[in-house]
Amino acid sequence: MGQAIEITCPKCKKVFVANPHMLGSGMDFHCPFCDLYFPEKESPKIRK
Amino acid sequence: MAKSLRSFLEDCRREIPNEIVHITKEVNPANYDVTAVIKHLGAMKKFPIIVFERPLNLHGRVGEIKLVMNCEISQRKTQIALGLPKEMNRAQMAEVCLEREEHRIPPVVLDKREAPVKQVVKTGKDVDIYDIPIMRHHYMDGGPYIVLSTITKDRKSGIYNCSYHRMEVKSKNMTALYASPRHLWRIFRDHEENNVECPVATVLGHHPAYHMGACYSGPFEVSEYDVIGGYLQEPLRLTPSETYGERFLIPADAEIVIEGALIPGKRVVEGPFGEAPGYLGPQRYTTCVEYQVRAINYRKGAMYQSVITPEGDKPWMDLPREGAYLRRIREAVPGIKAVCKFGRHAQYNVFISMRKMSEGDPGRAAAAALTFDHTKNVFVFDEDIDVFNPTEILWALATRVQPHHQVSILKPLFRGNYLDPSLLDEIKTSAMIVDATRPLDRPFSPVSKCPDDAMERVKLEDYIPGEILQHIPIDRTTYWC
Repeated sequence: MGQAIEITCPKCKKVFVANPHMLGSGMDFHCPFCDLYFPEKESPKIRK
Repeated sequence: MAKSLRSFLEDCRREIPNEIVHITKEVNPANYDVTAVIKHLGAMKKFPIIVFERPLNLHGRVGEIKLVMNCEISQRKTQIALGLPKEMNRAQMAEVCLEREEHRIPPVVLDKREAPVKQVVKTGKDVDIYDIPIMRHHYMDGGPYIVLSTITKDRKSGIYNCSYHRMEVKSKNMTALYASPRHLWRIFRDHEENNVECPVATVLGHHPAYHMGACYSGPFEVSEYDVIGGYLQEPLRLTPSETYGERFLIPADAEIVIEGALIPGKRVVEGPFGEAPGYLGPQRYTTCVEYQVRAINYRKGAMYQSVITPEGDKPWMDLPREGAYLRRIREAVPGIKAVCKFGRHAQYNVFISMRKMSEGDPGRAAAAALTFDHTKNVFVFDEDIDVFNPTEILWALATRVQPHHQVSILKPLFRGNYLDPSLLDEIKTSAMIVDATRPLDRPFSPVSKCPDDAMERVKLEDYIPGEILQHIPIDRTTYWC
């Protein structure tokens, strides 16, 4: 696994990068485009 | 008058008046306006200091605080900041940094009433960092970011540490500070393990020599306020913070200082952020600490200062590091001439030039470089190679290296940098050593050249009159000559 994973925002559908340690951490992701905080399970696509 | 950002700007107005630009048109730093202006200028190889007179703050209004950019870019500005002649070359400047770090000057403490940074103080419910024209730097940044140096204090020894950390603005009195695993992290973790908050302050504008001292990469036990005094060539003036009084001192001549506490046990999601290596540092949380802002101190007519990475050459940040490499590598082997750590091509790369006295010296020099910072690839050259000139570097690599013999790949044993996008591991990196020096134990073709006496004897002006010579255009397309 590399340094970055790609997360798709459930609201605006834009893609941003996060560190793999975010997965399974229980911390919400933060979409830098629409400011939404959301749990991992709500992302329609996570590319590892 | 004590040195400050204002005194530096005055020096620049006198020395390089064409390199200070005031922009009076309104700009929105949080919507990339400032980034775009600087990128457009950078594409033209122009890096003036820019004073944005009417930037919007994070409330979307023109406030009382201006924005200053590009103080850190270019060798000449750094020479002015350090009081050095313009003839001094890069390697000589790194030697000056070493000298100043060794001749440290302790700070002095001013009463709050005498401290310029206390001209305006906001505490409690009046704290609002949205009043500052903070930038979004790059596409996909998680929010507005503050990037200048942050101060913490070791609980046991009382030494102050200054270091650069990105922090994302989360609310009017809270940021998320990303702490890489260095001195600040050690200080914070000591507080956290004892379940006490960690006093903290961030300087958002000061003389470049202050910022250079804050780049110091020496032993933990050295107080960086003393190092900054060495760089300034005068005692750094300090004054009590609002939050902790005399127990935690802040720079008296800064433009703006925010202060507060890093909260133990709290982590905040932060990022992405367009980072120094030129890539987006991914969103993360494990070492991202909640920074509660409890007071803002600033001068009347304050100027907020920021930097964009990796735009332009930044001697501010790279010169102290080059000095630190020189110090470490010289402890391992004699004959080290220069170390280049500046520019985008030197991210994780280190270029060393040396007078080789024994086979194996380049390997020792490279090993010493690998012990420091985030070094990944080390290239060692003979002393005739100018390691600040990429053409000479590539020429030596092409002509003095047999890859199977002089390139060594080391297993991923080394702590790398979280921001290196090539990492396959969370933090560990492999490394490469390239010995591009000529062998001592067999003949090697000499470099071709015009004889020295001919160069001395033949005066160009005797053959081409000056008035003709000055009209021959400089060919700026021949990068590779």
